[in-house]
Amino acid sequence: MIGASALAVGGCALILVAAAVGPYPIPLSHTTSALLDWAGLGRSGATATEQAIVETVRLPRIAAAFSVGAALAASGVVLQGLFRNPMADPGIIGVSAGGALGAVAAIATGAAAASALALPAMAFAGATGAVLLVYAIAAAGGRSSMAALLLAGVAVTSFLGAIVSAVIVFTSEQQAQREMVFWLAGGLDSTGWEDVRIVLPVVLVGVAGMLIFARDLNLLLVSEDDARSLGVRVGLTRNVLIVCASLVTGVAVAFSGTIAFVGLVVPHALRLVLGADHRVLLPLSAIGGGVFLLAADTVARTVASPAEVRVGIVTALAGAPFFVFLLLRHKSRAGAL
Amino acid sequence: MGLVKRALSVAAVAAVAVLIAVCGVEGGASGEDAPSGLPATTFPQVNPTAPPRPAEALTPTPYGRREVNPETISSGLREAKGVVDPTNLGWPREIETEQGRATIKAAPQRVHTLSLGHDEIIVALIGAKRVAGIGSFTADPIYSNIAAEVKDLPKVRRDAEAVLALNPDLVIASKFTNQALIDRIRGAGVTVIRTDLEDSAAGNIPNILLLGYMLGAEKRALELASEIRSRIEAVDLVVRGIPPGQRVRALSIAKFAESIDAAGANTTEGGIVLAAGAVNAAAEADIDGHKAVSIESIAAMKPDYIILTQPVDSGTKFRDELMAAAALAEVPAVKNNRIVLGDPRYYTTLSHWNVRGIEEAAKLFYADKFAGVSFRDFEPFKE
Repeated sequence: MIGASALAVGGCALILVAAAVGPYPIPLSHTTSALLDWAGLGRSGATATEQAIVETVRLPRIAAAFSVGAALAASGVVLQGLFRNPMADPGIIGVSAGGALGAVAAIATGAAAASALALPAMAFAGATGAVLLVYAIAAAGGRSSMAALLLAGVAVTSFLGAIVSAVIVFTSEQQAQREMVFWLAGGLDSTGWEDVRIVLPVVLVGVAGMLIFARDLNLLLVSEDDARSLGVRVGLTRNVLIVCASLVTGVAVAFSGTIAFVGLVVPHALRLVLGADHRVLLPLSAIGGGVFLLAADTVARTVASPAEVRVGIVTALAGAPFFVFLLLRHKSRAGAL
Repeated sequence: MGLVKRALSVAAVAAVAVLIAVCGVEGGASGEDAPSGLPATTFPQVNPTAPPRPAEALTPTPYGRREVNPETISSGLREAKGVVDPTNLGWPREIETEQGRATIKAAPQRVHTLSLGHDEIIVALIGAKRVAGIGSFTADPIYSNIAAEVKDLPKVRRDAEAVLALNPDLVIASKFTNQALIDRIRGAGVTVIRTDLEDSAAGNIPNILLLGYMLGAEKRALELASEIRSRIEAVDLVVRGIPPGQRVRALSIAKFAESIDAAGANTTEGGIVLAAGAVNAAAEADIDGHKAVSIESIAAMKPDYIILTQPVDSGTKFRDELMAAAALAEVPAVKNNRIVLGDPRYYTTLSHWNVRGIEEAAKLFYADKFAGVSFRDFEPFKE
């Protein structure tokens, strides 16, 4: 309860901070009145440009960062539980690689230039296609196990990654090559409300779907046999959870590219504080992931203002030391035992 | 006696007049000493403190080759970076780069370079016939100023085996070329020389002279250098008198995927904006090099002009996005419909062709001062 409250309060404060800072100087009072005006709770005292910047530049980026962060962290929790592997992250089942392939294909074929939605649509199609491929490989010859899914995911990720590299190398048009490289670097630049209108509902539905099976995930964490004996429909639970994780990760990757560490680090960090009960860990990881990515994106767009750094650099700089801390903590505990 | 005296006086006056005329021609049109070996420009004398003259009077004519006195070639080569002995115009020739001394035994006949900028320079110096092959960038008419001249040449990727298959006798690498690739080509016995290319046309003059010396085209290199200087000076003479408070503020950007890239200080695009007499809005905001920016950053920089240095299709789409962005409604460039598609060939290369970027940008920013002036491309190589 305290943890949830702290996250909620911290998240709200961060949203206000993110809305207030940026390369265009806006007095805090103008930011506040712009926000109230946007929410229909007051009349704005900001100039037209200030209002437009808050409403059409900062707020959609805040919403997108929150949505993408929530998607990646929630997926990370689910996949770490399903695979019983602390190194599992949303990319483990080929989603990120499939999304990348869809995106570079959209750029290479010119579809991305023809329509604003073509790139995210093809990235999403690539992400879901990769998951289906992983499933098909894992299930070949009989029922699929988590180990088979994991191995198939690794294989498909490597394979698709090689195709992505080949597409980049053999694309003759220089502009297209540059577009691919920039997309693969990941980021939330140029995010608008038209993107949020797609990402947010999908993430909400996907995370809600995961929450429904949070109790069953607790039981699966012990063992599949024990869960089955306690009435859990193991196959259905596993499939729904993977589909939900793939769905939210796919849509996140489609709009933000590949952003590392969120799905890996946030679940571990919150597990240290909240424990492993997925009924608590899952929703709070979603919120925590949103807060983490929002904080990282706010840093990314202000630390070198008016220039921006890639948000993936910030998440990696924050995530890697934490991972070392986890590793050392794990080693010292193992040593103590 | 009176007649003799008168005749002697006339002769003396005539001699003095001839002497003044001769000194005036040799002194150079700008009132400054022309660099050794480089011919004087064809401009009239300009007093730097006088108000700038109308552009029509300063249009450099003619474009193209300016004959270089062969006796001044060696002195002209002193400006080249890395020529060991500028007085040696025979073969073999020695040059010195950061990687040490290299010997070129004879005038190369099958040259291959590993960058677009180098290709554009060497084709200007020796023509396409002595080029063994090109990279894909050089063949791309969107980015290359010599795509038509080299369209029949073999295209190879940056791979040691592919390059060696061209049977080159000289390979020229840039500072970005992978050292392992250079070592593999050298290991096969081919001379590989790495030379820098600066991010401005004027800055590349020493490199152009060095390349000319390496290729046995030093005279043509000096002529090209002279033309570069003349053309840059022609623009500068018009814009230098514009008071700082009246200079336009320009921002050069390009969009890749969802990321907007701005050209700050120490960039080719930024240098073009400065040479065209404008203020680089990104450099003014302390952006150094190419950096990602946001729509909000553009609103904060408030440029008078925005130049999009990307191909027409994507550039048009990006321009429409900028014009429609509510956050940019008060930015002068958007408000006054001054978002322009810059030709990527002039902005993204590192060669003498950047001069065309300067000319077109100056004409855009100060249309009234360049009314009636039409700038032309560099003439293709002629035997």
